[in-house]
Amino acid sequence: MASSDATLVEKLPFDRSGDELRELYRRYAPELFGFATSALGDRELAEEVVQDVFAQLWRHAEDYDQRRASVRTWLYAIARNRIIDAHRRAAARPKRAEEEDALDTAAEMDDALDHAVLRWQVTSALARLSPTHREVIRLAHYGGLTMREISERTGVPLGTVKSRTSYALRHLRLIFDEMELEP
Amino acid sequence: MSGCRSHADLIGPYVLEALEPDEMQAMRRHMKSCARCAAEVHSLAAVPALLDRAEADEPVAPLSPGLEDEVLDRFVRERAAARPRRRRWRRIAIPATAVAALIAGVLIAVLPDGAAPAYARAELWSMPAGGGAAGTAVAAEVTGGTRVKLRADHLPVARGKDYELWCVRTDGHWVNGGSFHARSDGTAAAELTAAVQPGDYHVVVITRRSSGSVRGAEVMRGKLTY
Repeated sequence: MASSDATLVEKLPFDRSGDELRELYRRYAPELFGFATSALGDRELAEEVVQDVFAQLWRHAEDYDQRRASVRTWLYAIARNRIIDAHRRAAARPKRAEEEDALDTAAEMDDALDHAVLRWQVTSALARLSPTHREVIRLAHYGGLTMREISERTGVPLGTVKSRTSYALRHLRLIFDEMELEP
Repeated sequence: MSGCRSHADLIGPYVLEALEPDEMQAMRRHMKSCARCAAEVHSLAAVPALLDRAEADEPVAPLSPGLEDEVLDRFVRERAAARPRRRRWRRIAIPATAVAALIAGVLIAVLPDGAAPAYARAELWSMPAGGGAAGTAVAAEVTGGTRVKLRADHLPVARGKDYELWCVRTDGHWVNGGSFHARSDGTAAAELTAAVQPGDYHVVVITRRSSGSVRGAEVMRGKLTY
């Protein structure tokens, strides 16, 4: 049985093999990287953020208290701070013309990052659905099609489209719950 | 929880408002008398609002495959550096022969920097891009991984002096041991740390420095003798 996130973090100070760190990396690095890329628009900077997040994780694993926040929330908080640092460094250098409408105040940056975190988490939750489940969600919710229209468009029987949509939504809710996402 | 047997498949489409108008109305009526369906609709009610936060086809950026190794490598290096220093030997009067024996014992027992004794060694042989390079790699266990002591000569330096060391795990995964610089005369001496344990790997490879996620050309490789 897979260890919980909190158990892996608890073991991290005694991790000699790197196994606990590797497991946490595989669970969270892809979505943290997606979030950082989305917030920074730069792959290289985003990879630096991911490296820094995991460095903070192993350096401060002993301070982690699962009663205060889940590991995911903690990692996103670290990533958020690193992204703010990266924005500040970028703001310190002379701006190019196309960057002049960049975020200026700390409050604007906070808001933008909160939105970016949520947007990215929903995107990565959708990516965890099977292609057929993702397709019905895409067509029904984003495309505004009814079940009958989806059935006609895809050639899938109407009953199957309906049950598939219900399964897709239930699965998505489980993923959102696991990610502690709320609107 | 899922809705009742007759209406379970309609709950998802209802929550997404993707039923025909008459079906939507029928579902509303049904829920007044079916607590199961009403409860499930309630539990799914927040999903559309969350979906609105994302775009339908936002691409999920793939991670560079080498980043995991870089993160683990940094972890191993920090753990190795953070290892508690050995206590200094107290100055005590010991006969000269005893001091010599003690020094010899310490040299055999540990490598520099507090590493454990070497557990494996590899003779490195030139690959086609190596131009006749040769070397040795001696591996010793340190906290969280392996310290590799590398010696090389005849490295081709005309096209660059930056190289990387890799440990190839038995499952075929390449673990980065860090980079090093050759001297102008083609010789190199370095101590590098990789996140591998004894028995995890059997091959050591030296490549030119990677560019982004593209690994550099193989210069030397050798099989470890444990």
